[in-house]
Amino acid sequence: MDKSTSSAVSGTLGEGEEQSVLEIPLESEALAHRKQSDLQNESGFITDDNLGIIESGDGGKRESIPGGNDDADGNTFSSCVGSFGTKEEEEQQASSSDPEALTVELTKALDDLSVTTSGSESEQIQSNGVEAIRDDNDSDMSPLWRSHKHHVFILSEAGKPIYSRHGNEEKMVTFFGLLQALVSFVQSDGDTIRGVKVGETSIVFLVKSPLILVCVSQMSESISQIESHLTYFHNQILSILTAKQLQTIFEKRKNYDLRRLLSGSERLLNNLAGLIEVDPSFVLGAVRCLPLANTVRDSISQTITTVLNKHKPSVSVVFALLVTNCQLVSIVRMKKVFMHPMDLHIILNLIDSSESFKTVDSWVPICLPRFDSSGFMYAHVSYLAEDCQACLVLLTTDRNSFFPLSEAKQKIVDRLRKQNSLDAINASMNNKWPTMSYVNVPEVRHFLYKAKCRAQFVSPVLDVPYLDHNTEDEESPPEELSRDCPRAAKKISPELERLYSTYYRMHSRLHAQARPVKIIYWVDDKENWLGWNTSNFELYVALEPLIKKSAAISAVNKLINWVQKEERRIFIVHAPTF
Amino acid sequence: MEANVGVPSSGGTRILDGACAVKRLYIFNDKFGNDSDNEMGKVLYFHPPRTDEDTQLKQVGLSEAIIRFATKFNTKLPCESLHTQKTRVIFHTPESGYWFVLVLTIPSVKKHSPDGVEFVEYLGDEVQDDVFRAILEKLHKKFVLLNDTLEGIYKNNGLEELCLRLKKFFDASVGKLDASQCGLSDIFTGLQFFPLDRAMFLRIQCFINKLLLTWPSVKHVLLMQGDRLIWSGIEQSNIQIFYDYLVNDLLSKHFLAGVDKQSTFGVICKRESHISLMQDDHCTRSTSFTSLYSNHPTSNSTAMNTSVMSGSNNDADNASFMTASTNTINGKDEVPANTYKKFHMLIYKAEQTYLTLLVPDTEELARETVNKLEVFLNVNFTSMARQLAKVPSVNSHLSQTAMSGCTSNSSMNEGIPPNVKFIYFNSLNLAERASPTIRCEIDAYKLLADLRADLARTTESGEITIKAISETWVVAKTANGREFYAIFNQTGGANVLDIDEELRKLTDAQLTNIFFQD
Repeated sequence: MDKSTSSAVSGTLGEGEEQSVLEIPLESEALAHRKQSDLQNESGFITDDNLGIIESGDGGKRESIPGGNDDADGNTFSSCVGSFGTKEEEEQQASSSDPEALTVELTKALDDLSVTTSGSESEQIQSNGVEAIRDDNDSDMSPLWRSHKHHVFILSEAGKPIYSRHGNEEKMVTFFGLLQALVSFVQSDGDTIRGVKVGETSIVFLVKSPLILVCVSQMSESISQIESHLTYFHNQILSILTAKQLQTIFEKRKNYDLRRLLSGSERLLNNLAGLIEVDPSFVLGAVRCLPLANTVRDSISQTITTVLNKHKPSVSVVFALLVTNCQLVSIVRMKKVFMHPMDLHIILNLIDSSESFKTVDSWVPICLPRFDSSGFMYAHVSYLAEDCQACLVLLTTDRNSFFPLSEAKQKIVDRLRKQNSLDAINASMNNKWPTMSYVNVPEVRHFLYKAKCRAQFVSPVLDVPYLDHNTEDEESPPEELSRDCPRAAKKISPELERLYSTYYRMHSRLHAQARPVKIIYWVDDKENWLGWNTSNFELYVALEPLIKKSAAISAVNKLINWVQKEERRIFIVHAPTF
Repeated sequence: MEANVGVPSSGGTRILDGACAVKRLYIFNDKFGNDSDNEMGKVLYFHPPRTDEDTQLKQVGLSEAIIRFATKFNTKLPCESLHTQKTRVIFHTPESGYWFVLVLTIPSVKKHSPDGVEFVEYLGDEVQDDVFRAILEKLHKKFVLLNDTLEGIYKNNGLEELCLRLKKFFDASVGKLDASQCGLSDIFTGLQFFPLDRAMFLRIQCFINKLLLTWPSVKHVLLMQGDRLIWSGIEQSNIQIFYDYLVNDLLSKHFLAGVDKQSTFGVICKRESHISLMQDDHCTRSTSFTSLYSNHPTSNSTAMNTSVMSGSNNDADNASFMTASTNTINGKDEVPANTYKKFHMLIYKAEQTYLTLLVPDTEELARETVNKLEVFLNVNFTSMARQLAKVPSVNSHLSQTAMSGCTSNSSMNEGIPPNVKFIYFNSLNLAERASPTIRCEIDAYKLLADLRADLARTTESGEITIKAISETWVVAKTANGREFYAIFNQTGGANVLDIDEELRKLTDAQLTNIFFQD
């Protein structure tokens, strides 16, 4: 480990007591931020010229990021990074060769619209709305498109389309204009639009200047839950561009077409949308951990720590994560820095959506918005080995440490192999655990348990009635389904949807701003449900339908005992630091 | 009413700085005012009244845009609500093309961030869409009851008249609406029944049959003891709003509450003036004939004291009460205007008993006929009323005036510990029973509507038990079209099982004959 960096760090922040990894309440953010800016000064990585690292970098083939089937990957990062220092060029391009003159025109018109606040504005809006609705011919908004249960739209404040989950955003220019008009109209009243409710459909707006994010969902989440989903999308975009760069771009040119910088990263957004639909971890704000015996996990973390600390030339790694199937195996961090679950989800999504990492070690600039939204970190991403599909992510602020980190990674893999840790990881990945029959509380069908201070949660392997065996046989290997991996389970069964939507409903009651609730016990004709929010944990349980309350309570107590007993296996309880 | 919530007046964490209040209420139909020189034409009503036209048009334009926008993703249902940080906009379209829009301010609290910066937090989930949609629906129904459908008025009397009537009705109604107190009861608008033994009930039925046979022109009869219903000959779809109108608008609160026994003597004049006052306020236009028959309860003599108000004196239009005819019970969609019937309404009072007669306005309601009817009633009705007065009655309770009665404890709640409140509604007979003080626990009370929405989502029968942050437990239960909600305060260290037991005790005591599946 780089001595100077580490001493600078500890000098600034002082030695603190160790805290568990993910203990990341908000107060740690400011700390993290300060810390990060120190790091930046140390490494000076956030300057324009060295952001061109990928293009100008002399790293050769390996460093020019992925390869093979995932060219888009490389484009994303090279284009986004490369463009940073060459905005004038971009502008010229935009003004001269922009093929979407029409778009610009419309956007301008909408700009004017949003500026005026006269009485006639309402008609403009209205006529615009009418236009957009009647104008279904030139847009992609067919009944099929409508029938999707979950839409996400991202646009700039000027109304420029940036992303649409379904359909081609270029064909929905008028629609995006309408979205923008609605937002700016409400803004002109000194207010912020949040959402529109139509039956079970919620249309939710999140205004994060200079972006507008919109989600249309028929999955009966609450508006604030959908807002938090949109925050994930916003963070995803920040992770590619940084907040600073995003601001600069739109300060210079309101009409900038951000798709240029994001081209190729749609897959990240698509994958995120898929994950959000099927994985409760986003609503909970927590991550799953790969179940591992305490000793195995500790030795893995220990190995990572020692290798990185002793490595020559020293590199300063801020976070080291080992991840499989959207589950955390191990996390090692620098002292006094913490990773927010939202940032963790960005990394998990990045890995989950990029096949290319499997074939080649990659070097990815990534911004972790909760950690520091103004600058990039660099992630060395690699799978451990052909025979162990766990992914090691080493995050550093030093843009030149790809090769040292590659060497370190190899050492880590060798040591882990010697310790049989790879086998242990494989065994756990292939083992469906914990099953409800292992938990052995027969009254309980399914549960989610979130350890609040760790921001980690556990849920059992899905089983009947929530797992549809028919689709499972045809489409995908069961163990992937059990982890809600979207590639395996794009469509979730109606029963599972019911399970999650009831969980979400209880979640929104437990976390209501105005009237929060501690315990909710719900009886309907298919299940009994329990939602429980304490200072240590959040628990959501689906119980057998005909159970008596007294039996239910003892079952839940048994369940909590079980979690506490297995805690060290289910969760990462001890997070070492470098 | 134009509340300014954005800038709360006084600080203090965790105290609501801005309460939920009605910010605007407007009604529009974009089929009017299409020509550019008369854009205001589509705005039929706007509250607050002194809003400038620009703002009105802007607001209506936004609503139109949102409504159209919403159809993009859900073509089946009309848009329900728009949430913004500072306001909640509730939409309701009871008649095709006519939109009722209610804009409410979102309650807010001032808070301090860790580094001492003050900021305002808006509590969006404090305002419940369901409740205010029900209120809009009720307002529309009541307007129709007293006037006609909007489209009907437009067709028969023209646009100007429509706007006038809307203004008259809604100006009065908005003032009465306290948005911060609205909750579950506003969704139910249930009926309070007056329980009777069989013999008495049979007697009343005889009387009503006789009345209907003798006076075929009388189509519907409604009998109330105080504010509680004994008999209704009006279809279910109309009774709720009609009852609500009688109890909450037409007949004065304390009149209904039953002036206490001692002062009954010699206050008839005063009571009459009560009625006539209200006549002036409310009913001159809508009631052709409202007769008050008061029976002077002096010893044996049944001194009759009749005063007939003929509100239609200065009203050329004979419009009275609108109720839908029997075969058009259709609460959700618009009811075609031609299926509504107009009625004259006659209300008679003896002791604490009110008799309401509805006579189709096609019948000539001559003074003579009314006199004859009154003679008939004098013989039959008064004696019955006296008998009814002897029925050991539970104290009349008005859930609507709960705020004033927060400390009172009505005899209905005997045997219920003071920390327990409940509300019961039966969607089959529309009966509603509630602890009079249920609105005192405003947070828990509001939670009830949330729970109702949760229960309504999934199944027909279900139960939710909740522990709120402040050691208050709330139980919501639905089965067989019946809904029961209970609030348990200061429960100490109770757990789910204790509350279950408490609930069982409560339902055993209060709802003896009602079957709840477990």
